[in-house]
Amino acid sequence: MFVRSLRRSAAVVLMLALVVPLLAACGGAPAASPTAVPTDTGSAEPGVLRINVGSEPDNVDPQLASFVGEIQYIMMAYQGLMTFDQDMNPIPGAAESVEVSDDGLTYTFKIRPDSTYSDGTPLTAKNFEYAWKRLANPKTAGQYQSLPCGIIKGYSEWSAAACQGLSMTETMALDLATLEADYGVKAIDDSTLEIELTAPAPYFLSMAALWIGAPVREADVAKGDDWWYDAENYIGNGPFVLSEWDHGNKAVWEANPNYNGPLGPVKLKKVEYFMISEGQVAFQAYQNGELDMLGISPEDLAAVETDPVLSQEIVNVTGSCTFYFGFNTKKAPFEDTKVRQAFAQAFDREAWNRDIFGNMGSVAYSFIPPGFPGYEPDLNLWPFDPEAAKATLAESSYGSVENLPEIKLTYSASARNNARFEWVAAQLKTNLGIEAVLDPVDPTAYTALTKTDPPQLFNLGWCADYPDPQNWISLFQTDGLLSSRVGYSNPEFDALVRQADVEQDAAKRAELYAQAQEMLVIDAPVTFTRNDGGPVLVKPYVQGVSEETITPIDYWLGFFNLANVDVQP
Amino acid sequence: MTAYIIRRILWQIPVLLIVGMMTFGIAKITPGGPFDTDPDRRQLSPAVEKILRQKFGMDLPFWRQFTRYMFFDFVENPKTGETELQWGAIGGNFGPTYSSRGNRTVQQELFEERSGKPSRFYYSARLGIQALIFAVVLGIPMGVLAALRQNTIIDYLILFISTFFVSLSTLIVGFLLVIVFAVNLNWFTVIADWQDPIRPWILPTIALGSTSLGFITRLTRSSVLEVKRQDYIRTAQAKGLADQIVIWRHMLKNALLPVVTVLGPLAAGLITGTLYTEIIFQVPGMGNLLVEAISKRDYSMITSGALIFVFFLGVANLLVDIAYGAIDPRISYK
Amino acid sequence: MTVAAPTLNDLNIQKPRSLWADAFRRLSRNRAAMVGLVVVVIYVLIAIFAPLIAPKNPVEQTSGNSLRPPVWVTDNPKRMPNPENLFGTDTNGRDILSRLIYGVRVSLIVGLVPQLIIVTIGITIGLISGFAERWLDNLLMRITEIVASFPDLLFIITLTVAFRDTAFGKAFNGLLLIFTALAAVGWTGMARLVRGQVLSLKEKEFIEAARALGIPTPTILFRHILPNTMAPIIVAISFSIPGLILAEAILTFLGVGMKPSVDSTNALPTSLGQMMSEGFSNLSSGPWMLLFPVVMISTLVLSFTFLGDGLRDALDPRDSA
Repeated sequence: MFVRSLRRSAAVVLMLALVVPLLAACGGAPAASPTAVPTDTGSAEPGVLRINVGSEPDNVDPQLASFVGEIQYIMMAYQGLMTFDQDMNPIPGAAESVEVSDDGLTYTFKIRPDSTYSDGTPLTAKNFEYAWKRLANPKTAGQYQSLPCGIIKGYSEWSAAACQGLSMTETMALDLATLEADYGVKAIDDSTLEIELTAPAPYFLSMAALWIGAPVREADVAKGDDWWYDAENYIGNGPFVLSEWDHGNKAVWEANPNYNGPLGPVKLKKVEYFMISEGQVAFQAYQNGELDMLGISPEDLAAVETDPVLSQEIVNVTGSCTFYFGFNTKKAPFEDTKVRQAFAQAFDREAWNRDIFGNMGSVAYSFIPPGFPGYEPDLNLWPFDPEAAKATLAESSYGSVENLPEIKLTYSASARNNARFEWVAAQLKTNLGIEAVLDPVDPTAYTALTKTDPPQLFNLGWCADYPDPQNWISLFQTDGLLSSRVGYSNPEFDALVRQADVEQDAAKRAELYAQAQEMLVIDAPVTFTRNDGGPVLVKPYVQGVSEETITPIDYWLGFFNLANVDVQP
Repeated sequence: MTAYIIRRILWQIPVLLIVGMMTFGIAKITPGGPFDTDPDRRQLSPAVEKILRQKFGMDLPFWRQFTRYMFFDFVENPKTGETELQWGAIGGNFGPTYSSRGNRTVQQELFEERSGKPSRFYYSARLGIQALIFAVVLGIPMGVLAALRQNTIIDYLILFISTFFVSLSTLIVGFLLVIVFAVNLNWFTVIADWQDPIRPWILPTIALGSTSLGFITRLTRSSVLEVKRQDYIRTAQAKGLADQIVIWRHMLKNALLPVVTVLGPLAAGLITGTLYTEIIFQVPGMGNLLVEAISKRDYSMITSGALIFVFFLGVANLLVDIAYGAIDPRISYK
Repeated sequence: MTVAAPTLNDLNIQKPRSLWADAFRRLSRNRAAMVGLVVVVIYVLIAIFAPLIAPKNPVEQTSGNSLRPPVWVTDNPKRMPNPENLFGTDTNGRDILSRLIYGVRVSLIVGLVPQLIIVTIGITIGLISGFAERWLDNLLMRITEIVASFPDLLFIITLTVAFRDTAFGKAFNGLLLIFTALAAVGWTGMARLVRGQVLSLKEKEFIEAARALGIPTPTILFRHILPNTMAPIIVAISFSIPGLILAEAILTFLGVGMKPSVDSTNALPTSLGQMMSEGFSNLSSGPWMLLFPVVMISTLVLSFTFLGDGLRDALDPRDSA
């Protein structure tokens, strides 16, 4: 008897020993856990900011890279010709000034005098010429090579494969030397860079602020295909210097003493990137004082908001993405505009953002997100109204819900998305009486599907490359990047966008884009649902992070006004 | 024996070829390609995608792509414009990784030691071997003890401990260890500092080893029980045979057989990297990379991962088969 | 220990009994095994009668009722439990208790059905390989190596995308695909384990005697060798059950597993493994979302292990003490 009861209690004790800390340390009893001491500074050091970037970038070569995690490295190490101010207007970066000719075709950049790379070697207009030529060179074949097609003079001709769709063999057979000589990027002298365009393109200044024009050095690039893999080769003119890169583990940045651009002077001595891919582990690291800032997922938000310490450490940031449901206008029933409009009215965006995202980010009724040029807070044509939705549906050629074909909700499969789209399906049922079928598809196969055979109803997003309405609205032109996925084509819309893209008068241009955006919302080939963004956690000893001083460009980097941040534990 | 080993090694050649072809083929027919990642960002323009497809030889017929990967091909060098012989996997060239835009090769990603930093293979292999040692050194004695004390509290406790960890995913076991030892007790840091030669290895070794520990403990227990009941042991025990050591040795040797069998696949699996342990403890090993390669459709990385795994599996199984002979001399290889 | 008399006694009693009755008698004496048996039976009953037991529909979502803690957790005034949800709710406001009850169904099926295939293929290949000529052994073992390195995840992705609109892909909410995939690659470990045992057994005296007597090979294999390999097989099975339950969770986590469901008549809406991975990603906000499935899975696995050990001991013909 004694043995038996002992046996049982031993098992119970063991079980408790294993499971209780799980509960206690994860928000069940925050006050009791040692991590919740408000003044916990962990192992923080003055002047050192430790953040989690989640994973190792695959390639940080400025002329090849294309993902956010990669661009982040490039923007730390390099300073392009231009950068953005806090209102997202392009301002001179490595350039001291820029002059645009009256016809809007010639841009003359003056490089800041006595500019150097972080290792002290001089930075001249020649370095920029090399970088912009490397971008256009067909041998580079970077993923963003097609971005400046048709904008810079001679670019399309030289970069024939990326811009004209020629094969590599055909491109190599061209007279490449002549094409290079005709290319519109020239260093007039050490401090002057001249770029000629084919047609006026007011958004070119924003483009000149992108990572694609980062001034890599020929000598570094010559060290091999993966020259960028070694910190000692990754030498730039940006606010920080990559001093150590322990691949898959951490990257250490030190302030660049030679930086003379508008983002400086940098207050921090050091920034440490960690590559923790599991969000729960990063959350523990933050609570344990091993990280100074942390992005929170919607899943963690409830825990943070109800925690007396963590809720004091929330800082809100704006995002740069808009998410939407796409209706394939080539597939029934969405060939009918009224059906699309009805679905747009039947979706409760407020509830979506509240229930699923804990009110992180914001609801979206139009394309361009808040804080970006072209954002229109009043463009709200499809407020949530199930009755109106049913009425709109009755006006459609289908007449009523019963006559609609099966509605299949296709999305990128993951545990998280399963829960989200279960919610969406429940909404459609409540609001319109539609029994939607859930259709999860492997993420990569899903992306391929949206390009080759777009599903009937699917979910996608778009994140800014650069802050200009052209980067948003123009993508919905006939056969554009986004319109081709939903089969949208409206000649009137196309005409407006074409006019806006080259319009030099800023006010008129904004007006044209506004008209186009409204047309897009009315035609409803897609219906916008929400913008990302939301709270991040910042330790109280990290100074200089505040909602007021956040620049959107910082958010793209994953930072919040990094140059003004300081750590004083 | 030598002839047997040579024959076994020759057998590995078709195995490697078939695994290579099978994996490469399935990877290729899986919908979505290396340029279909991150649907919320700008996708490649069709023209750029065409260039890249050509660059990676994705437009060639399947057999040609496969022979280029596996054996060799004549490829135009983009720098000189001349056609050169380029070896494939048999020449130690496992191909470019698509995710690095072709800047880095699979062998560089997995095996290259650079700037004094160990390779990913080093991390995976060391962690795997440590976990295996942990599991064997702890598991066999625990199993023997459980068998000798069959149906006592000790037996049940060992059974409980060894099974409890198996019933949880490594993800949760690992996370629990972090919570208890790093967050609550502060013996370790949550963020691993891999410059330290010992500290960051301890928790992942335990987490990774715990699943195998359970398996080995229980297998040992059941084999020892089995052997314990064999007639000769019973006879010896009944006679009160003086030489207990003989019995012990005999018992253990026979009990080891199934344990040794499972060590083969276990070793191959542990050495080539394990996803969850790497994720929780931020081990810069191969497991994470190989699993990510699947969602990135990094064909050469996927195929190389399978080849490396089956290579180690073959080696481990060969060692196991040789060990059989040592444990039980009646099992012979002629 | 007493000596002669009880042995004789035992012999007298044992004679008329069948092997199975005898085994059951021994099993019923093993307390741990009986506890295991009772728990397993309870799980099976829960699985069968899920619709009767579950207090709510497992897919019913209530807006504004998300992430409620279990009823007894009342320490946080900002997040009070809903008395209707005993074990709290998940991110979509669904009742955790009801989902657990239905989840037991899928997890039991996933843990056991592919197991049958795994055991059948594994034992057959293992027996043949261990007993056959060297070249056949070699061939079979090399095939298991190939199968062991089969890119199953990719294959499942291909199948799910290719068959997502067909009956095969939709069957049992996508579970059929998972069974096929798990069983197709899961048998290799079992095969090697059995082969290892056979290699050693076939050189034993009693097998050589049987051969010398001219007993046909299949009889030797199934009558004389197989029963002697049962011990490691049972251990392997009891370890492969949690393996399969967790594998299903991982597949679902990666988005290629079970299809999500909002259909209130769906008999297989979720699994314990799936709830566990959902729970892990919501660990900080709703630890109960992880705790309950973990406790359920652990209990289930422990019970199977205890029962398995008891069965092994009970079926051992030599162990008649």
